Amino acid sequence: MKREGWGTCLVWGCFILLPFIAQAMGSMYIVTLATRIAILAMVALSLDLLVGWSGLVSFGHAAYFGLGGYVVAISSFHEQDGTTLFGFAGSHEALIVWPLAILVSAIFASVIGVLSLRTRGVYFIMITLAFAQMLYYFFVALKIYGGDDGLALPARNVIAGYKITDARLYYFLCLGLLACVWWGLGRVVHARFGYVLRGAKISERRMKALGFDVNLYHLTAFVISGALAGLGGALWVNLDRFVAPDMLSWTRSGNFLVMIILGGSGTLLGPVVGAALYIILETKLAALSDYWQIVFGPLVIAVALFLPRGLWAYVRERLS
Amino acid sequence: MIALSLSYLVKQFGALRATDGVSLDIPARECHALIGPNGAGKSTLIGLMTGELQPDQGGILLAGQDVTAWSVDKRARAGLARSFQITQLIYDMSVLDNVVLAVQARVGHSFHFIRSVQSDDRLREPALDVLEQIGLIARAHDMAGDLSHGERRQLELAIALAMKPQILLLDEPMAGMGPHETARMVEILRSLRGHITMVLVEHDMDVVFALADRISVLVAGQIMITGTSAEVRADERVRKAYLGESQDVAS
Repeated sequence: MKREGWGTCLVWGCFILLPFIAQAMGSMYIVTLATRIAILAMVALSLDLLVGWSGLVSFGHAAYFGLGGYVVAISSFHEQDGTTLFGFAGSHEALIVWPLAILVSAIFASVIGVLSLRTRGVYFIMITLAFAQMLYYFFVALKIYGGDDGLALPARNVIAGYKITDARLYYFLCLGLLACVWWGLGRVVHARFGYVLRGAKISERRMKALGFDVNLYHLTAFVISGALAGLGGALWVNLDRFVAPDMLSWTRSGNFLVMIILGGSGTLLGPVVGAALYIILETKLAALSDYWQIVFGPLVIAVALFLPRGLWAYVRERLS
Repeated sequence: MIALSLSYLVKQFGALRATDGVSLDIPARECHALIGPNGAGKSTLIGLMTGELQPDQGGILLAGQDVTAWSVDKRARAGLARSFQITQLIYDMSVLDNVVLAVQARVGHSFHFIRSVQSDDRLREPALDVLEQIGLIARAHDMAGDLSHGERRQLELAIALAMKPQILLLDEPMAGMGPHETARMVEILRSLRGHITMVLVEHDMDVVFALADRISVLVAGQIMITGTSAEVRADERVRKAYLGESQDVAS
């Protein structure tokens, strides 16, 4: 147990030291890369509450990620433009638009969740994918916000009036939020709520016979997961200062699942490790060739075959 | 008081009437055995009682309340517990945690997100008590998936008991158990007799005669006779339909 703690410390230590190493190397690009990892790790972690802990493979998680992003971009757009949307004049204050991003994603997740959670297994995968595709095409068709071309953010959101211009500061903000999500989900899966999810993953029949309204617990998990993905989307758009329907695409949903598979589902730190691995490999391999996926694809298959519980689960077993 | 009342239940699967007009009143704290040959509709009847199946006709009263339209989990919260014929355990959780889940379901909703279950004695203590009572305490911290067949059946019962139910539906609790384990299980069930209402589906006639206050014989989806073990043993139709003419029921 103790040495597993060391492994956890090592992962977080790397995250914390990274900007300083980047500075020493004189490459601020690494900080941006690490920020990407932190944000995507948060979304993968939130998705794993469904995939790893509840056994619900949602294939439409990019929808909530993208919604969060669009809330931020659209708020800035109206603030800039002077026009209103449903009476909302827009804002670029993070303390307003980030909670709004979370709220909008949560609302969509609750509606989509109610409908999707009537199904299980492959049908659940298909229906969550279908809803995400609907939202994707909705934003493609939404010409006022750039449609296919996307929408640029005039400036990064301010936090309580304070401008975050320093890349390292923004990185540590994202890292801090990732740590909060990691810690919070770690509590949740060991609390009563998480026990119900874990029980229902193995035997829904048993959990119903015990008196648990399993659907209500699943829906709650679905909404929490979607809300956190919305926060991730808000952070993402602030990093790139750009949003496009691509953020809601099904390949993006697939990428989140790949991160979970690489790192290990149901292991908490697994999706974080998986996100880091994904981004690092993507960057390194894409620098070598445009056809980097020819190498990356078999690598994912190899992990799925030889380390079916993921890389982090393997490391953890080795350590303890 | 009638704990469980079935009034003219019918369940049809295609052309097969698996339950064909079953009416039965089970008084509180009675141990009522359901016996019958394979295909008599025992499992269907259990399914109708728990709510996993919806009857095509008829109704079910739980302590006088109509629960026919209630879901499985709502009936469970009203005090109806069941053990599964094919064990339904959370195999990747510890034996203790399997029982903790049952306690958790009993003490209220589980929308608690922060406090660890592991350190919650309000959940652990009652769960440990039940494991002690069942005789599984030594295996409390082993994975449920590592238990032997007999132990799994014991855990099934422990989970049901941890719900502190009003009515306990036992679907072949001894199936596949050795004689020693069966004897232990009979002892446990005997100690519950007179305290909670039990519906026992069981093939082992010795067990049925040892435990049941009354017995209903189910044949082709209908109750042929309900009575004490003496009455059932004496019934000529039961011998013919269920136990075979040549076989002596009393043996």
